Amino acid sequence: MARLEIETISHSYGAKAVIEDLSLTVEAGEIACLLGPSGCGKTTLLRLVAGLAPLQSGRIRLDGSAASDPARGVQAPPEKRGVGFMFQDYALFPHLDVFRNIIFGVDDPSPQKLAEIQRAMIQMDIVELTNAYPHTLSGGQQQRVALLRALAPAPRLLLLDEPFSGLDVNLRAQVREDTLGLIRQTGVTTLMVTHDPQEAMYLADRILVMREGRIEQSGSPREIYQFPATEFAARFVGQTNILQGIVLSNRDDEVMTTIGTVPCLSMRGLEFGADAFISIRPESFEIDPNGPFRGEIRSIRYAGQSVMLEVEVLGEIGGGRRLKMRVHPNLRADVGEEIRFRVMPDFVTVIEDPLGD
Amino acid sequence: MDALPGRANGRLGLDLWTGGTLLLAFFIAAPLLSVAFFALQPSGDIWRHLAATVLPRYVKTTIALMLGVGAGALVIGTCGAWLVTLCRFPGRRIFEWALLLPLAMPSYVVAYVYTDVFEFAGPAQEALREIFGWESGRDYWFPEIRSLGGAIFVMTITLYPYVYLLARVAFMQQSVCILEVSRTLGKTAWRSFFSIALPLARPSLVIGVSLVLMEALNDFGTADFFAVETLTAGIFDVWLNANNLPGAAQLSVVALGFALLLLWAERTSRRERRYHHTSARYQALPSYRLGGAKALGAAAACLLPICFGFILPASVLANYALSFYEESFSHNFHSTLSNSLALASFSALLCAGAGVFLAYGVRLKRSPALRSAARFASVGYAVPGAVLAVGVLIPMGKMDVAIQGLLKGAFGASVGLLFSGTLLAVSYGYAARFLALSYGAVESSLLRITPNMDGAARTLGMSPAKTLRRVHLPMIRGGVLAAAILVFVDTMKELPMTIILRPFNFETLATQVHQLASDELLEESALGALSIAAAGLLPVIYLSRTIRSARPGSGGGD
Repeated sequence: MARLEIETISHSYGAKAVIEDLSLTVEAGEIACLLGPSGCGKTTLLRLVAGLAPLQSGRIRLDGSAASDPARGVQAPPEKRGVGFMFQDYALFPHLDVFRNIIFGVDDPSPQKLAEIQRAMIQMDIVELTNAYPHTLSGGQQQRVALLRALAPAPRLLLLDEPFSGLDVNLRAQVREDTLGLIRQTGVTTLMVTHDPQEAMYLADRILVMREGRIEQSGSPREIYQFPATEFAARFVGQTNILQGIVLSNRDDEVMTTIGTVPCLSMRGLEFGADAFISIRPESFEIDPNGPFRGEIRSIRYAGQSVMLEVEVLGEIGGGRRLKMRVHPNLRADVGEEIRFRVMPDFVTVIEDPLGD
Repeated sequence: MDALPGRANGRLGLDLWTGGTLLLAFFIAAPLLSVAFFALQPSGDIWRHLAATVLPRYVKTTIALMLGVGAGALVIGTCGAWLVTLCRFPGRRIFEWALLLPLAMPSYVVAYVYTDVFEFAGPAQEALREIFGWESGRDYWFPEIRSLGGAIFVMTITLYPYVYLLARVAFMQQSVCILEVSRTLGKTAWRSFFSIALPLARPSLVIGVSLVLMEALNDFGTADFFAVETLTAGIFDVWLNANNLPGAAQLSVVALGFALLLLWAERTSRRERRYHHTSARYQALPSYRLGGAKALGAAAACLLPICFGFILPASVLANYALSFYEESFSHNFHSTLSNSLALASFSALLCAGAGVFLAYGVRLKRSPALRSAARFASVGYAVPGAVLAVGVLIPMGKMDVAIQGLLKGAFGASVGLLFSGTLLAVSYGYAARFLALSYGAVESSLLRITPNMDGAARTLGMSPAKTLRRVHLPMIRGGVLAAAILVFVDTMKELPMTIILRPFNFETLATQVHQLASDELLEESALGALSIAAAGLLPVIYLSRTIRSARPGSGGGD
């Protein structure tokens, strides 16, 4: 278990900067997840941490000692870092069977070590594949072998690159569960990257939303969902409605918006009268015959556990404005029907000005 | 604890792999560089003298030879590939691989055989005289085999498989959809070939022809035997007969110019070829079912080059080898064979090892500078062996003289030549010429290993060298073996470099066959020639196996 500190690192391929002045820390034993769209520099970041690509500027420290520090000429080769890396394509060695793949990184395994590996293989339900070769395994089995192989040398830090993207949807839930179980059990510090917000929220203690080589927001899954800091973060982890407004009162937490006065849980310290943008999650709306807002249903999408509505606001202020709402599936209504609704404050937050700098 | 163990790393930090790769690349490219360097030295009147005397003749003959061989190989190779890939006719499955057979026959061996068969006293003319009752050469006309035309014929018939090979892969990889679109647009199969298939295959055909021409330029045995004054033959003549090394070096530079031109054509086409895959969808190739006269014509068109390029010479040689078995053995066949085998095996190992080191070093460092160095080191295959041999000799001779002088000054003793005319020099020359073969084979098999494999092994605690040993080598075993076989066979056949660089009285199969044939003792050389051809069958088998898996989606696999 080690603490990973990444300090003001930058990386570029030729003239194209993929990581700019990025800093982050993963505490010992923590599972942190970099969440971002493809091409935002996530995988590059993992490769820099593992030492698979030379760091250009900044510093990476593991357990307080420098692993990459180009300013001081330190660039520890990957084999000296004690970092486990699970690749997106698993990169199992095709010429070795499952067992030899798993113990590849263990020099002269002791009997205790072998017993430990055996237990893990039983736990991950791959023990009967001991002598099988990678090409005969299913995607889920390959994923487990790759995970055990990365964990076998007892790394100080585990890096996972899109660990579940190669699996089909039905398998994912189970493999995700098993993976999380094993990581928790070993207690290894973990940094994973993914573009799937569901995955990130399910696995991570802390999510780092990444965009164009920078960390946009860092927080627990709940914080990220409930109080996204930016429009990008808000939209990346789910659907949202962005409205412009003015802070009315920071005591009663209300914002005057283009559709009227909306309660808001997080004001981010803005004072009375300040311009503000707010994000309202679709879950924040409640259909209520006595609600202050009026709207006409423009579309209905039934999704099983909920119903997505698109509602056009009616009234003098905010008329014509469309809102996305998620309501209970027992709703009986038709397109064109008029409804009244109100806004609950729990999933409403002030975000940074999307037009500002 | 302050810092993890590590070292400074700039863009090209100097470590074992970077330094080793650069050094190796430089070492392999050194002969080429020394020829180029030599050419830049003031040479006095040599150049003007050459230009006024032999040079125009050499250049003209070389160009005529290349034009003839290029055109011939292009037609035979392309037709053969088109027929066996897209038409159905009896024997097609056999022709598919049999069309590669002439690759096993060195041109010079075929030249000796055809001289034997077609010369005035040979069986062909004898039979004609018998039949028609002619008495002497004045009664009839018969083409002179020992001529430029004869050389073109012999080289065409032995070298066309390069074009065939590349054309076949190109046709196999073409999307059938495009051909079908062309036909639905109202073009006949024949016009589709000329307007679609051929233009799409053009880069591959250019590569094939370039390789053929490189071989034609390199050839010494045929040209020497037929007294055709090509540049390569000229280098030998100016040097060995006129004892004029600077002159030979100047001629080498001209030959190098031809080689670089071919190299440029080849590499440009390789780049271009990548953009000629227009569709990712593949279906079963269409097959034009040929019947009657057409089928017969197709079979004949495939059979003829195989006959002339392999069956006829092989049977003549086999016949001689059997009837002169005793005499052949008396000529130290054993020691010559073991010389050849030892030299070829050593060179194959050397080249395979160097190829692995170079290709892995380039992969490891991902530096454009290293990649360019490796690519430069592998241009040797385009350069005639005689030129490289000159390039090996010049620096080695200089080193010998220098060491000689040094030792004489220090101890007053003479040690003789340390480098020139040693087996080391021969292997070095082979490496300079054939490293490209092994480097290419190793590089392409390394490309099939994803970089994440390297990353996985490294993060699991393996150093680069250990990663190579435990991950890459087991996975590219097949590629390395193929590389070694290719080099082995080519060194078995190699003539011009061996003649120049070998130690005094050291005979390989190739030099002995050449010597015996030049002394008109073809019968006794047959066993050796046949042995070379037998070794040459190895890559034919390998190529015909890999070509079948060349078609994407055909499930060939490896």
